[in-house]
Amino acid sequence: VSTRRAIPDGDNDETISRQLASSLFTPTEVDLFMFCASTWNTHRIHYDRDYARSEGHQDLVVPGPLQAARLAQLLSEYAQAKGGRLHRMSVRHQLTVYCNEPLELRAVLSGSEQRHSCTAIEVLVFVLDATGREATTGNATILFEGAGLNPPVTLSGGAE
Amino acid sequence: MNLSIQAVVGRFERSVTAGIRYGRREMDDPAKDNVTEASAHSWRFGGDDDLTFIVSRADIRRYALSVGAAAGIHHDVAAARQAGYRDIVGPAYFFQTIGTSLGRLVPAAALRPDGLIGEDDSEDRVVAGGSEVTLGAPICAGDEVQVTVSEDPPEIKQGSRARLTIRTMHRTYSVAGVVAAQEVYVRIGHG
Repeated sequence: VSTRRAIPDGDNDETISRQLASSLFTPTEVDLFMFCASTWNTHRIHYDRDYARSEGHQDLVVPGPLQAARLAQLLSEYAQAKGGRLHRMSVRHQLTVYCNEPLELRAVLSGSEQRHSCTAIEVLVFVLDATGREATTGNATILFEGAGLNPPVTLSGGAE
Repeated sequence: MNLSIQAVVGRFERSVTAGIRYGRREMDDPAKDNVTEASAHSWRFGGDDDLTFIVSRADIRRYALSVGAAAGIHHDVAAARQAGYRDIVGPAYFFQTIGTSLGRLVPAAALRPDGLIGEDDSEDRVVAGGSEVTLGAPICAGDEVQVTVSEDPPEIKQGSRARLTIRTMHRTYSVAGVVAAQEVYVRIGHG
């Protein structure tokens, strides 16, 4: 299990310029209920605290797919606001995250390339727990369609 | 698709019977380890209709609320149409509401004590491992989503504290033949 932080600390100017989007999210019992209900997730570790503890968890488990969905939403809203769209995302859940634990979601620019008729920007994504450990990590691609379109971010210039 | 009450009841009864049978029979037969979810679901639920999902506005609104997607295009028909969509549109990962429910539409009595379905009998603790998703066309209310599913043979590894069973599922969601999302989902069982 990785507990190191792969992204530099926030006092690094370059990191600040490369951070595309972030949000704070503290999943409550209601959040877990709503997500499990809408996806018909019947796994008891997400809604039965006693059962979750009987499996060795310290509290209700925040579903990995909920973390992925929140990251996708963060990226999707960023992309749409800039005239692009989320194309792909890959995530790996590194740590179990528990109900009522404050989480920070981050998207950090890692590269960009010109493709045939669009510009692709590569993004690293993270869900950090309250102590700054990486609970979920991954990467994603956002596409900006149209030949000759200048993407709203560059590696040298950072996010607009 | 119009179904009579008798047809619906008959389908439900078949799913109950087959769903309860499925867990033991499949798990006891190693040759079935790489059975695809598609064939498993057809067998359990009695028809290909189970891999078709007709999206309602309520489905989209519920999912949108559950992931904090507050934009009007997910909730308000007029706003969605003004933005160029045929109806309200699902958030990026809306396909989850289809994929996660596959195989879980069974009575509570057919679930294991941990709430999972019988096919997970060999695993004591199950958690999500990760996912890889490529997005295509948007999914809107009124769409008929076709799902194709398959599962790799389980991968067994020895973890530091327990044996790990890694299951990798592949799902493709299409609307009118156009791919809306391709998903690889990894689930890890301990024990």
